[in-house]
Amino acid sequence: MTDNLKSALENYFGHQTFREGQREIIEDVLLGKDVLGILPTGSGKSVCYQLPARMMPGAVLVISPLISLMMDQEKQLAAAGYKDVIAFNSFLSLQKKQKAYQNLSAYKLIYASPEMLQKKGFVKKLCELNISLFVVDEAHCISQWGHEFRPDYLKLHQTIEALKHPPVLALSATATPEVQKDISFQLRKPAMVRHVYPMDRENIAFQVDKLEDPSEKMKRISSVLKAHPVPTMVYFSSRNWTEKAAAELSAALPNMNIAFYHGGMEQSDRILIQQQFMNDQLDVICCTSAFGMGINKQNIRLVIHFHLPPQVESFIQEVGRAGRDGLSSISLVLLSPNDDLLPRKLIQSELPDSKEIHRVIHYIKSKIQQGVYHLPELDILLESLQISETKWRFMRYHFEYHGMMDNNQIVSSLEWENIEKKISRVAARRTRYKLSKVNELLWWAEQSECRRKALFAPFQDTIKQPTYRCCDKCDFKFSEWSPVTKVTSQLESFNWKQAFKQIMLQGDRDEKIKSG
Amino acid sequence: MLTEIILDSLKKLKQERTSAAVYHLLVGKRSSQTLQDAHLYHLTGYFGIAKGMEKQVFDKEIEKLVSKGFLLQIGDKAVVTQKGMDFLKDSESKKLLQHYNGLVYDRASDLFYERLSLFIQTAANIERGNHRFIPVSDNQEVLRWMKNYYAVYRRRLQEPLDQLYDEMLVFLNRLPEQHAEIFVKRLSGYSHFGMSKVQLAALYDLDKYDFLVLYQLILHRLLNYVIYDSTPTPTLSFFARGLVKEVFLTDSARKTNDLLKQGRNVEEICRIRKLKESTVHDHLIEIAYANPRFPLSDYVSSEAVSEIGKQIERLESRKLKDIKQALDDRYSYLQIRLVMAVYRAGWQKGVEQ
Repeated sequence: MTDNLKSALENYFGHQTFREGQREIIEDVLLGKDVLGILPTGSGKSVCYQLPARMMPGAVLVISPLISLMMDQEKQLAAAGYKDVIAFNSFLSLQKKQKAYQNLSAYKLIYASPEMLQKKGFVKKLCELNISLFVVDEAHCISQWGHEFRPDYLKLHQTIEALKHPPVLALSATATPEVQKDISFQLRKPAMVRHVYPMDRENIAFQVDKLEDPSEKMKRISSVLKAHPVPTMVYFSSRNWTEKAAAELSAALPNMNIAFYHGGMEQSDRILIQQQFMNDQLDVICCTSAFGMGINKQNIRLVIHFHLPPQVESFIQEVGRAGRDGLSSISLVLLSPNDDLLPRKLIQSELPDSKEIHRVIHYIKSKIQQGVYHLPELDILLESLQISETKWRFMRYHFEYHGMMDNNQIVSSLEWENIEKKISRVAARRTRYKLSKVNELLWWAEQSECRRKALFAPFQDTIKQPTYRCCDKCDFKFSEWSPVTKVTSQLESFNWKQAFKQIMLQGDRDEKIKSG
Repeated sequence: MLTEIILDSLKKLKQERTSAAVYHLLVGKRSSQTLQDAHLYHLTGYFGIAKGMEKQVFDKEIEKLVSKGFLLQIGDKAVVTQKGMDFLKDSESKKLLQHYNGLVYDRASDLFYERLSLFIQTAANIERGNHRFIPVSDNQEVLRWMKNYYAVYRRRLQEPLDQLYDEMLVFLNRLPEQHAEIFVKRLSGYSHFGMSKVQLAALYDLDKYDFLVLYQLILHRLLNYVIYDSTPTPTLSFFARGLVKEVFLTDSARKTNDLLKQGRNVEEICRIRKLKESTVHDHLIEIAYANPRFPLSDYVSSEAVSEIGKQIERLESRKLKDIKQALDDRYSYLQIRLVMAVYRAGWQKGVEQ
């Protein structure tokens, strides 16, 4: 079987060898076991179900919370010639959805958002198929203690049951032992085979610099890039900052190609910038966390955090984009006083406070008094409640959990005061939890011990031996770093006629004319 | 370029509209009022050429022009000063403004470009043996179109590439150097991705919307070249097919028009659609502007048409009240507006380039 696997890998994906963990997980999956796989970012998690999808009869169902990731994968697979892949999410047009419904058995790989599984018609369709593997991607979303808890994930076990228990494969890049336990509990699969692989990467060294203020941070970035012109990602937590920084750095570093990327850009520009970076036409990208999902650029040498993300797990994922090729790479964190304000604000914007909870419950009670038990469409509801969708989703989940609501329908007219207290407590607890996650990362940056050990110890038992250097607390100094550098060439003079000819592949034609 | 566009619009509006009317025009607001203004004041070219522009950004532009002495702010109206007029007259870009064809192209220019750039990228990559590339467009509609087109040419992709090269080279040679550069720099080819709009704007040191209107100008000129120019462009024409609508109507006016075509009159339409009479009148005006064969005689007798027409010309005003009074209130507003629409409006203008 082992030889079969290897040839299948080469056959379907063109890879010669498996990466760490892939083979072990795939073997267990093909044996029909329930598997929990914790594999670091960039280690090819998706092969763990994409290869079985090619080898097993029937279809593989993949539940993923990240619509952009789903679409990226669908796109990549389509580019590689696999057309029997479909992603069901809110972006799919009704027409395409209906066509896909009729033809569902033709697909080998079906991606769906957890929200889709709440649609009875969709699940009914799935039941008619032969689902040979049920995959939960980004499985940490299932746990309240995961950093990206998604209430919809808690209902996955119902779908697994409806599908008559196909083998389950849960995958995550970041899950503490606590979260791992929670995943198998919530999926009602206590006997999952666990394959946990360390997520520290031996070729990445860590450094944290403490600076006075944002403008000092910018100066630091310029000087680092001047000394080490390498493919670089700089993470920011605001869109404005990415634009501002890209402009400043472009002025300071005229020999490098620098651009920004964030979720607010026009779609065609997003594609171009992302692909320029992938294609080594850009050296530095100033971005928000919107960049990087499904990015698989091999030669990123340096990941700088101008702002820290709101939790350790995201930080590890973002750092993990560096050095996929195994060569010496660096994570550089820039800190300045008051760096915690932005993530705190963000958290407060995600969870409802007691006033907002009161307002929503007051609204529902007034509906009940009017004898109205059906809530209006989402956008109208949000408009009249003056509340964000994230906050509403949080509350709706708890209303449903306590049996007060079912799918926009109010099913109980009593007990709402009680619920208000309960939800307020949960929201406050959740806010505290998230704030503690912010502090965790800030605390890490303040530590005097080895940064690798402090960062990865909560996730794994052993820490790998670094291939190059470890961290600024141990042995790393920027002045001694000599990475493989690669800077894009600057166009000295641009001749549009020449360039146009090249793009339109007119070179051969010229020669033909000359020689003919 | 944006400066010239705003000055030219305000000049043509002759203080009869607020400067917000220019904003609605530039972002392509789909309201009867905006469409009528576009026709009435010969501003159809600028319709929707700065989609997505925020109101604050526009207000800042106006402020900038006021501080330069090009505009005078009077209440919510802005008047072009002599200095502004002189600037516009001497501007190098002014003669380019005539190429804008916004109302006709509306969304077509972007779709046309997406088809074209996606095809060039696809053909170049596949000709060079690269079947794995990320397409520059992920617009489903465009991808579907591409699939069909590709199916026809898959075995001889160099052929349409060569033809496109020839047809486009003629066009690019007619453009100012800088515009041709922008166009070529944005194209993606074999293992090469073009520059984004934001990058191009920075490269030429232009503000976001200054660049966007310039970019639209290039696309409009390309479409003008494909649709109206006598140079044959059989391959490019294929990419424009089905995109350019002959008649542009708001969705509501379109429904009214459908009922008119079924022989319903205004009264019946009001009843069927549960609309106020004035709303249906607005639709009639819109239809009259958009449709060269509007049956004017159903609403205004031929003598009345010539009488109203003469008054409009004599008064050189578009203020309805003035015209109505000058005609001793013998005709309704609807009649006057319809005559203005059919006789003075820009639908003929929109076609000639």
